Amino acid sequence: MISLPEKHALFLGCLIPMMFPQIELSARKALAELEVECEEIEGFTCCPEPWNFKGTDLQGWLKVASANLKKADDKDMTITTLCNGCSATLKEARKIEGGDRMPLHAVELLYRDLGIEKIKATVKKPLEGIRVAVHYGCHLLRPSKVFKTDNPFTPLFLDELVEALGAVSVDYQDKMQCCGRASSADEIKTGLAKRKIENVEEADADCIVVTCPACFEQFDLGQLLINRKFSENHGIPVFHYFQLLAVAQGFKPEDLGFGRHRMDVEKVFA
Amino acid sequence: MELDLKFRNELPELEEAGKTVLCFQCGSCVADCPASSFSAGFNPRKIVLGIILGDRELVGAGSPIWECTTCYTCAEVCPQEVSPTEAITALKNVSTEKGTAPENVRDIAEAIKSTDSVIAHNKKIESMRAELGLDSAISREGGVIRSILSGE
Repeated sequence: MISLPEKHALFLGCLIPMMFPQIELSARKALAELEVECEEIEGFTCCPEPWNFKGTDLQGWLKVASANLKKADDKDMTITTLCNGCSATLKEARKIEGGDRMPLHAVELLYRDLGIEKIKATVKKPLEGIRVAVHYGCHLLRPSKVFKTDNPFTPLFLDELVEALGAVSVDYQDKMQCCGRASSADEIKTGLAKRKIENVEEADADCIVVTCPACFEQFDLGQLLINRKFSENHGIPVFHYFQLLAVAQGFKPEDLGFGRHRMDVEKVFA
Repeated sequence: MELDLKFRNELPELEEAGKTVLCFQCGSCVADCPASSFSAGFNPRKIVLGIILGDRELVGAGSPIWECTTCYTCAEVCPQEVSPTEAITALKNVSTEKGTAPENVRDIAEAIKSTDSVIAHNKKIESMRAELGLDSAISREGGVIRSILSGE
């Protein structure tokens, strides 16, 4: 084991373990490969989710988030999430309520605590030639005064993490645009996803990389819905960062549950 | 339009909604707003103006506040450090208290309060996890959030 400054409690949230467990599978394999020990804590609930729950009950949202933070504090652990929404809620609650252990997204753990060289050292099958469109997702970066992750408009750290795998991070139009998932207006929700997919295609990218299950659903299932609604034929594979990391570390794509994706991913690794 | 300058004092302070009074209507928030680019009815500058002037229609049924994607772009670009995203969240809370929040939003929030999860836990989820060799450590019985909220 390498010595980390903090003990990490893996906060899975709802969507990843219950809708996209293939993301959890890759994350567990990849973190183990990096010798990061993430312990489980019993009794975590929904973070709670920062649009509908927070939008209807701010005080309740803060109470429940604080209860989740306390469960990790009591064990002297720092919460690590795989979801932008979870990290947004828990970081903001921490800022409001105070306390030393600022929760973090697992990609921040990789970049900040482990470092690029440590990631590179575990890469056995570099993703050479794969063109990746990086989508940070709003709640990984903003509000920047709370998160202090990276520049809220021209971040680099996720691009660097992608390139550490041997892939190329391609630039594309409106790269920092929101996925649209949290809007209740269909023209906004669908419009933003469609524009993102078209911009990614325009840049000739092989896949999209996200760090959030909501963005993942918006683009993966979203392309299926856009294809039906507009009689189009989009098919850009979508990955959570940890899925690409696991493949680069040498885990076989067929063992990582990619069959659960709506957009076929096989062509990326062919 | 009926206006009530005291309306802004009714917004929950948790979200720094009080800072909206500093807005000088430059429109930077609209220029970069992804929601505004698809919906002419959604305009964060006008929403903030509505808060300052006290337009209670903002918390009425069919208000555009629910169209916000909560991306916080407006908050990042605002030269006055106003956060329209947070102000909108505060408006949503008042709308919920008044009973004018969209039904699907209320349903999702209530479902989370009942099940402790965005998605109700079921056997299908467990078999899907088992297929991938993942254990069932995520089982949620429900009731935890309710007891936190009731202070038990």
